[in-house]
Amino acid sequence: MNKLIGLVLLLVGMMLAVGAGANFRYYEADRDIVVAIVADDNEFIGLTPGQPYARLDNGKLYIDIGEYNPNRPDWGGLGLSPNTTYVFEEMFYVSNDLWENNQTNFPICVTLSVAGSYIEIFAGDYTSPTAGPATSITFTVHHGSPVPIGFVFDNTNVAIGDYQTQLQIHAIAGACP
Amino acid sequence: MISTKTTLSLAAIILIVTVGIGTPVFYAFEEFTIETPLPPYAFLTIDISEGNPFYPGYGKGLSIDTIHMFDDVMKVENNVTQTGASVICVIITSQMDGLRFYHSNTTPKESISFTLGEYESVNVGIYINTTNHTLGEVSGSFKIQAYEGGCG
Repeated sequence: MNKLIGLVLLLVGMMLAVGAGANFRYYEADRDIVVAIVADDNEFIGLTPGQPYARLDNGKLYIDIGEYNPNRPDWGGLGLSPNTTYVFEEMFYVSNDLWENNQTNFPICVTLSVAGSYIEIFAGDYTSPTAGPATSITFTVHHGSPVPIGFVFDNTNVAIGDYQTQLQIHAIAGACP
Repeated sequence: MISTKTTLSLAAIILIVTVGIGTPVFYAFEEFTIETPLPPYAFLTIDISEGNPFYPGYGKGLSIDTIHMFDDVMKVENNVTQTGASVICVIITSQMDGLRFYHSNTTPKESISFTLGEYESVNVGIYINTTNHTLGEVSGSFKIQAYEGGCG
Protein backbone atom coordinates (compact mmCIF):
# COMPACT_ATOMS: atom_id res chain seq x y z
CA MET A 1 0.00 0.00 0.00
CA ASN A 2 2.76 2.36 0.95
CA LYS A 3 4.44 1.53 -2.32
CA LEU A 4 1.27 2.39 -4.18
CA ILE A 5 1.00 5.73 -2.39
CA GLY A 6 4.64 6.31 -3.12
CA LEU A 7 4.06 5.56 -6.79
CA VAL A 8 1.08 7.90 -6.89
CA LEU A 9 3.12 10.61 -5.23
CA LEU A 10 5.90 10.02 -7.73
CA LEU A 11 3.44 10.29 -10.60
CA VAL A 12 1.95 13.46 -9.18
CA GLY A 13 5.44 14.81 -8.70
CA MET A 14 6.32 14.04 -12.29
CA MET A 15 3.14 15.65 -13.52
CA LEU A 16 3.90 18.74 -11.49
CA ALA A 17 7.39 18.79 -12.91
CA VAL A 18 6.05 18.48 -16.42
CA GLY A 19 3.41 21.10 -15.65
CA ALA A 20 5.95 23.54 -14.27
CA GLY A 21 8.10 23.06 -17.34
CA ALA A 22 5.31 23.75 -19.77
CA ASN A 23 5.73 26.78 -21.87
CA PHE A 24 3.42 29.27 -23.44
CA ARG A 25 1.74 27.64 -26.42
CA TYR A 26 -1.00 29.75 -27.82
CA TYR A 27 -2.80 33.00 -27.28
CA GLU A 28 -5.93 34.30 -28.91
CA ALA A 29 -8.05 37.37 -28.24
CA ASP A 30 -10.73 39.34 -30.02
CA ARG A 31 -10.61 43.08 -29.56
CA ASP A 32 -13.11 45.77 -30.48
CA ILE A 33 -12.83 48.76 -32.72
CA VAL A 34 -15.34 51.58 -32.92
CA VAL A 35 -15.18 54.24 -35.59
CA ALA A 36 -17.55 57.17 -35.92
CA ILE A 37 -18.22 57.97 -39.56
CA VAL A 38 -18.91 61.70 -39.67
CA ALA A 39 -19.33 64.56 -42.12
CA ASP A 40 -16.27 66.26 -43.60
CA ASP A 41 -16.64 69.30 -41.35
CA ASN A 42 -16.37 67.14 -38.20
CA GLU A 43 -13.49 65.03 -39.46
CA PHE A 44 -9.98 64.81 -38.04
CA ILE A 45 -9.01 66.62 -41.21
CA GLY A 46 -11.93 69.04 -41.35
CA LEU A 47 -13.31 70.31 -44.64
CA THR A 48 -15.80 73.08 -43.87
CA PRO A 49 -17.70 75.09 -46.50
CA GLY A 50 -16.93 78.80 -46.45
CA GLN A 51 -19.23 79.92 -49.28
CA PRO A 52 -22.71 78.90 -50.42
CA TYR A 53 -21.04 77.41 -53.51
CA ALA A 54 -19.53 74.80 -51.23
CA ARG A 55 -21.89 72.38 -49.52
CA LEU A 56 -21.98 69.07 -47.75
CA ASP A 57 -24.04 66.23 -49.15
CA ASN A 58 -24.18 62.97 -47.21
CA GLY A 59 -21.19 64.18 -45.27
CA LYS A 60 -19.03 64.92 -48.30
CA LEU A 61 -17.88 68.32 -49.46
CA TYR A 62 -18.99 69.43 -52.91
CA ILE A 63 -18.13 72.62 -54.72
CA ASP A 64 -21.27 73.15 -56.70
CA ILE A 65 -21.71 76.22 -58.86
CA GLY A 66 -24.91 75.32 -60.61
CA GLU A 67 -28.65 75.32 -60.70
CA TYR A 68 -29.16 72.41 -58.32
CA ASN A 69 -27.07 73.64 -55.42
CA PRO A 70 -29.64 73.81 -52.57
CA ASN A 71 -27.99 77.01 -51.35
CA ARG A 72 -28.91 78.80 -54.58
CA PRO A 73 -31.69 81.34 -54.04
CA ASP A 74 -34.50 81.44 -56.61
CA TRP A 75 -32.98 84.53 -58.16
CA GLY A 76 -29.45 83.16 -58.01
CA GLY A 77 -27.32 82.97 -61.14
CA LEU A 78 -27.09 79.55 -62.74
CA GLY A 79 -23.37 79.46 -63.31
CA LEU A 80 -20.32 80.96 -64.92
CA SER A 81 -20.21 82.03 -68.57
CA PRO A 82 -17.61 81.24 -71.23
CA ASN A 83 -14.50 83.40 -71.50
CA THR A 84 -14.66 84.69 -67.95
CA THR A 85 -12.34 84.24 -65.02
CA TYR A 86 -13.71 83.97 -61.51
CA VAL A 87 -11.83 83.97 -58.27
CA PHE A 88 -13.53 82.77 -55.08
CA GLU A 89 -11.66 83.13 -51.83
CA GLU A 90 -12.42 80.96 -48.81
CA MET A 91 -14.45 78.41 -50.72
CA PHE A 92 -13.79 75.98 -47.88
CA TYR A 93 -11.46 75.58 -44.93
CA VAL A 94 -9.07 72.77 -44.10
CA SER A 95 -8.63 72.24 -40.39
CA ASN A 96 -6.45 69.97 -38.29
CA ASP A 97 -8.55 68.40 -35.55
CA LEU A 98 -6.37 65.42 -34.77
CA TRP A 99 -6.44 64.49 -31.10
CA GLU A 100 -2.67 64.52 -30.87
CA ASN A 101 -2.97 68.30 -30.74
CA ASN A 102 -4.36 68.01 -27.24
CA GLN A 103 -0.93 67.16 -25.91
CA THR A 104 1.52 68.53 -28.43
CA ASN A 105 1.67 70.80 -31.41
CA PHE A 106 0.88 68.33 -34.19
CA PRO A 107 0.84 70.07 -37.58
CA ILE A 108 -0.01 68.26 -40.80
CA CYS A 109 1.18 68.80 -44.34
CA VAL A 110 -1.74 68.85 -46.76
CA THR A 111 -1.61 68.46 -50.53
CA LEU A 112 -4.70 69.43 -52.50
CA SER A 113 -4.89 68.52 -56.16
CA VAL A 114 -7.60 69.24 -58.67
CA ALA A 115 -7.91 67.38 -61.94
CA GLY A 116 -8.32 69.39 -65.14
CA SER A 117 -6.76 72.58 -66.42
CA TYR A 118 -9.50 75.17 -66.03
CA ILE A 119 -9.48 75.21 -62.22
CA GLU A 120 -6.67 76.35 -59.96
CA ILE A 121 -6.67 76.48 -56.20
CA PHE A 122 -4.80 78.56 -53.66
CA ALA A 123 -4.36 78.77 -49.89
CA GLY A 124 -4.93 82.07 -48.08
CA ASP A 125 -5.91 85.32 -49.86
CA TYR A 126 -5.75 85.68 -53.61
CA THR A 127 -3.56 88.79 -53.33
CA SER A 128 -1.04 87.13 -51.03
CA PRO A 129 -1.58 83.37 -51.22
CA THR A 130 0.50 81.09 -49.01
CA ALA A 131 0.33 78.43 -51.75
CA GLY A 132 -0.78 78.47 -55.40
CA PRO A 133 -2.70 79.29 -57.47
CA ALA A 134 -1.95 75.96 -59.07
CA THR A 135 -3.66 72.64 -59.82
CA SER A 136 -1.77 71.12 -56.89
CA ILE A 137 -0.81 72.97 -53.73
CA THR A 138 0.87 71.98 -50.47
CA PHE A 139 0.56 73.78 -47.16
CA THR A 140 0.86 73.23 -43.42
CA VAL A 141 -2.21 73.20 -41.18
CA HIS A 142 -1.96 73.75 -37.43
CA HIS A 143 -4.74 72.97 -35.00
CA GLY A 144 -6.92 76.03 -34.36
CA SER A 145 -5.87 77.76 -37.59
CA PRO A 146 -8.04 76.50 -40.45
CA VAL A 147 -6.56 77.31 -43.84
CA PRO A 148 -8.91 78.98 -46.35
CA ILE A 149 -8.86 77.49 -49.84
CA GLY A 150 -9.74 79.66 -52.83
CA PHE A 151 -10.63 78.72 -56.39
CA VAL A 152 -9.83 80.27 -59.75
CA PHE A 153 -12.10 79.27 -62.63
CA ASP A 154 -10.67 80.15 -66.00
CA ASN A 155 -13.49 79.66 -68.48
CA THR A 156 -11.57 80.74 -71.54
CA ASN A 157 -12.80 78.78 -74.55
CA VAL A 158 -14.96 76.55 -72.35
CA ALA A 159 -18.25 75.67 -74.03
CA ILE A 160 -21.62 75.97 -72.32
CA GLY A 161 -22.53 72.89 -70.33
CA ASP A 162 -21.87 71.10 -67.03
CA TYR A 163 -18.37 70.21 -65.93
CA GLN A 164 -17.23 67.94 -63.15
CA THR A 165 -13.89 67.19 -61.63
CA GLN A 166 -12.44 65.80 -58.45
CA LEU A 167 -10.36 67.23 -55.69
CA GLN A 168 -7.91 64.97 -53.94
CA ILE A 169 -6.73 65.69 -50.44
CA HIS A 170 -3.68 64.04 -48.97
CA ALA A 171 -2.33 64.81 -45.52
CA ILE A 172 0.71 63.50 -43.70
CA ALA A 173 1.94 64.05 -40.17
CA GLY A 174 4.32 66.94 -39.60
CA ALA A 175 4.74 70.42 -41.04
CA CYS A 176 5.59 70.65 -44.74
CA PRO A 177 9.33 70.75 -45.42
CA MET B 1 -17.20 64.29 -55.72
CA ILE B 2 -14.36 64.88 -53.37
CA SER B 3 -12.01 62.17 -52.41
CA THR B 4 -9.97 62.52 -49.30
CA LYS B 5 -6.86 60.61 -48.60
CA THR B 6 -5.09 61.05 -45.36
CA THR B 7 -2.02 59.54 -43.93
CA LEU B 8 -1.37 60.35 -40.37
CA SER B 9 0.52 59.28 -37.45
CA LEU B 10 -1.68 59.03 -34.45
CA ALA B 11 -0.05 57.95 -31.26
CA ALA B 12 -1.57 55.88 -28.55
CA ILE B 13 -4.07 58.61 -27.84
CA ILE B 14 -6.93 56.89 -29.55
CA LEU B 15 -6.50 53.85 -27.45
CA ILE B 16 -7.92 52.77 -24.23
CA VAL B 17 -5.29 50.28 -23.50
CA THR B 18 -5.49 47.92 -20.69
CA VAL B 19 -4.38 44.54 -19.85
CA GLY B 20 -3.68 42.71 -16.74
CA ILE B 21 -5.73 39.81 -15.67
CA GLY B 22 -3.66 37.60 -13.42
CA THR B 23 -5.49 34.31 -13.63
CA PRO B 24 -3.65 31.38 -15.19
CA VAL B 25 -6.29 31.10 -17.88
CA PHE B 26 -5.18 34.43 -19.16
CA TYR B 27 -1.55 33.72 -18.57
CA ALA B 28 -0.57 34.57 -22.07
CA PHE B 29 -2.63 37.66 -21.98
CA GLU B 30 -0.21 39.73 -20.00
CA GLU B 31 2.62 39.23 -22.30
CA PHE B 32 0.81 41.36 -24.76
CA THR B 33 1.13 44.09 -22.28
CA ILE B 34 0.41 47.10 -24.27
CA GLU B 35 1.62 50.40 -23.02
CA THR B 36 -0.07 52.11 -20.10
CA PRO B 37 -2.01 49.24 -18.69
CA LEU B 38 -4.94 50.29 -16.56
CA PRO B 39 -6.47 48.34 -13.69
CA PRO B 40 -7.79 44.80 -14.19
CA TYR B 41 -10.80 43.69 -16.15
CA ALA B 42 -10.39 46.25 -18.82
CA PHE B 43 -8.98 45.51 -22.22
CA LEU B 44 -7.69 47.07 -25.36
CA THR B 45 -10.20 48.88 -27.53
CA ILE B 46 -9.64 51.14 -30.47
CA ASP B 47 -12.17 53.93 -30.28
CA ILE B 48 -12.29 56.74 -32.81
CA SER B 49 -15.43 58.48 -31.61
CA GLU B 50 -16.69 60.99 -29.09
CA GLY B 51 -17.17 58.10 -26.69
CA ASN B 52 -13.41 57.77 -26.21
CA PRO B 53 -12.39 59.30 -22.86
CA PHE B 54 -9.47 60.93 -24.64
CA TYR B 55 -11.81 62.79 -27.02
CA PRO B 56 -10.56 66.39 -26.77
CA GLY B 57 -13.74 68.10 -28.01
CA TYR B 58 -12.80 68.26 -31.68
CA GLY B 59 -12.33 65.77 -34.50
CA LYS B 60 -15.41 63.59 -34.10
CA GLY B 61 -14.38 60.81 -36.44
CA LEU B 62 -13.53 59.90 -40.00
CA SER B 63 -15.56 60.87 -43.04
CA ILE B 64 -16.91 58.80 -45.91
CA ASP B 65 -14.68 57.76 -48.81
CA THR B 66 -11.45 58.35 -46.95
CA ILE B 67 -8.39 56.35 -46.11
CA HIS B 68 -6.67 57.00 -42.81
CA MET B 69 -3.48 55.45 -41.57
CA PHE B 70 -2.48 55.74 -37.94
CA ASP B 71 1.01 54.64 -36.98
CA ASP B 72 1.81 53.05 -33.64
CA VAL B 73 -1.69 52.37 -32.45
CA MET B 74 -0.63 49.43 -30.35
CA LYS B 75 2.54 47.75 -29.26
CA VAL B 76 2.93 44.00 -29.11
CA GLU B 77 5.78 42.65 -27.01
CA ASN B 78 7.11 39.20 -26.24
CA ASN B 79 7.50 39.52 -22.51
CA VAL B 80 9.60 36.44 -21.83
CA THR B 81 9.08 36.42 -18.09
CA GLN B 82 5.46 35.73 -18.89
CA THR B 83 5.56 33.74 -22.10
CA GLY B 84 8.65 31.74 -21.29
CA ALA B 85 9.13 31.57 -25.05
CA SER B 86 12.22 33.05 -26.62
CA VAL B 87 10.46 33.32 -29.97
CA ILE B 88 6.78 33.84 -30.69
CA CYS B 89 4.77 34.40 -33.84
CA VAL B 90 2.02 37.01 -33.63
CA ILE B 91 -0.87 37.16 -36.08
CA ILE B 92 -3.31 40.06 -36.18
CA THR B 93 -6.42 39.67 -38.31
CA SER B 94 -9.07 42.24 -39.15
CA GLN B 95 -12.73 41.31 -38.78
CA MET B 96 -14.08 44.67 -39.92
CA ASP B 97 -14.70 45.91 -43.45
CA GLY B 98 -12.05 48.43 -44.40
CA LEU B 99 -9.76 47.74 -41.45
CA ARG B 100 -6.19 46.66 -42.11
CA PHE B 101 -2.97 46.50 -40.13
CA TYR B 102 0.65 47.28 -40.83
CA HIS B 103 3.97 47.59 -39.08
CA SER B 104 7.09 49.49 -40.04
CA ASN B 105 6.72 50.40 -43.68
CA THR B 106 4.87 47.30 -44.77
CA THR B 107 1.76 47.47 -46.94
CA PRO B 108 -1.45 47.38 -44.87
CA LYS B 109 -3.15 44.00 -45.01
CA GLU B 110 -6.19 42.36 -43.50
CA SER B 111 -3.94 39.88 -41.74
CA ILE B 112 -0.34 40.47 -40.72
CA SER B 113 2.15 38.33 -38.88
CA PHE B 114 5.56 38.95 -37.37
CA THR B 115 8.09 37.10 -35.25
CA LEU B 116 9.17 38.47 -31.90
CA GLY B 117 12.33 37.43 -30.05
CA GLU B 118 12.91 37.91 -26.34
CA TYR B 119 11.48 41.23 -25.18
CA GLU B 120 11.22 42.33 -28.77
CA SER B 121 8.25 44.49 -29.65
CA VAL B 122 6.52 45.74 -32.77
CA ASN B 123 4.36 48.81 -33.09
CA VAL B 124 1.27 48.10 -35.12
CA GLY B 125 -0.54 50.72 -37.15
CA ILE B 126 -4.09 50.69 -38.45
CA TYR B 127 -5.44 51.57 -41.88
CA ILE B 128 -9.12 52.40 -42.22
CA ASN B 129 -10.90 52.75 -45.55
CA THR B 130 -14.39 54.17 -45.01
CA THR B 131 -15.58 53.72 -48.60
CA ASN B 132 -18.18 51.08 -47.79
CA HIS B 133 -19.46 52.76 -44.65
CA THR B 134 -22.28 55.22 -44.12
CA LEU B 135 -22.65 58.06 -41.63
CA GLY B 136 -22.94 56.78 -38.09
CA GLU B 137 -21.00 54.52 -35.79
CA VAL B 138 -19.26 51.45 -37.15
CA SER B 139 -18.04 48.78 -34.82
CA GLY B 140 -16.05 45.70 -35.51
CA SER B 141 -13.30 43.60 -34.08
CA PHE B 142 -9.91 42.15 -34.77
CA LYS B 143 -8.20 39.00 -33.60
CA ILE B 144 -4.76 38.75 -32.02
CA GLN B 145 -3.17 35.31 -31.97
CA ALA B 146 0.27 34.21 -30.89
CA TYR B 147 2.05 30.92 -30.67
CA GLU B 148 5.47 29.73 -29.68
CA GLY B 149 8.07 29.69 -32.40
CA GLY B 150 8.80 31.83 -35.42
CA CYS B 151 6.24 32.61 -38.10
CA GLY B 152 8.27 30.64 -40.62
